[in-house]
Amino acid sequence: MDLHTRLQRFGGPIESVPEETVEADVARGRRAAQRRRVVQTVGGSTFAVAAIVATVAFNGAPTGGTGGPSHPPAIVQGTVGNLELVRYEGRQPNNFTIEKVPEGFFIQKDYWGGLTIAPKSVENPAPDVDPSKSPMYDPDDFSGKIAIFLEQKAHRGDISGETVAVGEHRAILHPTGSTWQLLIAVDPKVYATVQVDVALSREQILELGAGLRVHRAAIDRMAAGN
Amino acid sequence: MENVRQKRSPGGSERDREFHEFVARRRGRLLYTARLLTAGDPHLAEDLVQTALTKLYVSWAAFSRADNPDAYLRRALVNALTDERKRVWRRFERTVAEIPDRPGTADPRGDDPELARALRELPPRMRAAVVFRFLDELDVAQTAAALGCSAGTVKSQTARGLEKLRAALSRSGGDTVLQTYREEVSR
Repeated sequence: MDLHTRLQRFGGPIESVPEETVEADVARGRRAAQRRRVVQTVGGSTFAVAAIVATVAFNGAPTGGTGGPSHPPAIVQGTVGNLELVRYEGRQPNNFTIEKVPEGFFIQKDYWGGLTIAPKSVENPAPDVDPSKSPMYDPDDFSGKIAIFLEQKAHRGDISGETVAVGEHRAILHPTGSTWQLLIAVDPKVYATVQVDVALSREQILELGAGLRVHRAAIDRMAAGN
Repeated sequence: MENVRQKRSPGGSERDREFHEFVARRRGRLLYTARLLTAGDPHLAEDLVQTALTKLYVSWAAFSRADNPDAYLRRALVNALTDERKRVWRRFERTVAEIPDRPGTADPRGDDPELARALRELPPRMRAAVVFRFLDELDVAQTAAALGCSAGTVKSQTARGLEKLRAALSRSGGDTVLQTYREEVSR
């Protein structure tokens, strides 16, 4: 078999597309468009950007950039979407300690390498809920949620973004598409990444990150590549 | 917390209707290309398609006006492939995420693990150059438009990609594969 044929076979069949898949794509696009309108509306004014610069405080004081935009245009100020950070009162995860979560959120998934923090509206799905069709119920779908995960620094390479101090750690805050990531250097080899796909302000993202602790065993496991 | 998902308005917008039609018509082919771009990772392939389509929806007006909409679409796929966030996501999702149990959604890596390994060894953009040139049968200019690079870069990336494939496959496949490679470069 020649290489061309082999590659063609490798690509697999071109399948017909179920209607529910198309609908899910449309819904996903609409959500992204809506998020984009929100951040443009709120973050678009000069005043809003200036206010963000002025209110950076506590553990999130900027300490210099690394080549990326120091204040990306999509950053938001205040409590967009009426989200407030509150003290987390639930059972702490096995390998993490978390002090703050958005009000009305819960830990949807807890495993050694990370957490998924989702709205409580999806905490107790009805028996007929299909997570493949209702992705908010899927703990491995991070849209509209906060995902925290450990990763090896070596897999990242150079990252452009704003360098900040989060608690005792240095971190990088950078936008990725319609979401934000705060990569906290919890170890010379490991980042604890906080990926935010909900309407939190910059200060709230940093505050959430400052309240995160990762247990040594999980860091060591990630550093070892396990 | 209000549900962050948006409800679709009755009937949907014109953009919704056009996008819906586009997805119904093109998604299957997109997923095929994505499976090759991801060296056969069905989860990541689905993720790439979703990401590219989402970006397409948001930029639908620009896409509709694009001189070369297919290049626009392929560029979105490649950008999704090289988006570091996606690579990180998938690394953690792969062990648990499930894909729909439908015909054709089997993991092709299981059918041809040597080719999967060889493709995986190619840098993403080099892999894309090979896929676009030899599977999608784009010419150099079309591939350059899709990758957002020069024609010269396409040529060099494609040649190097094929060379690397040859080296990887000949380690495991012997003379037959080497011969097919020679046939490919002479096409």
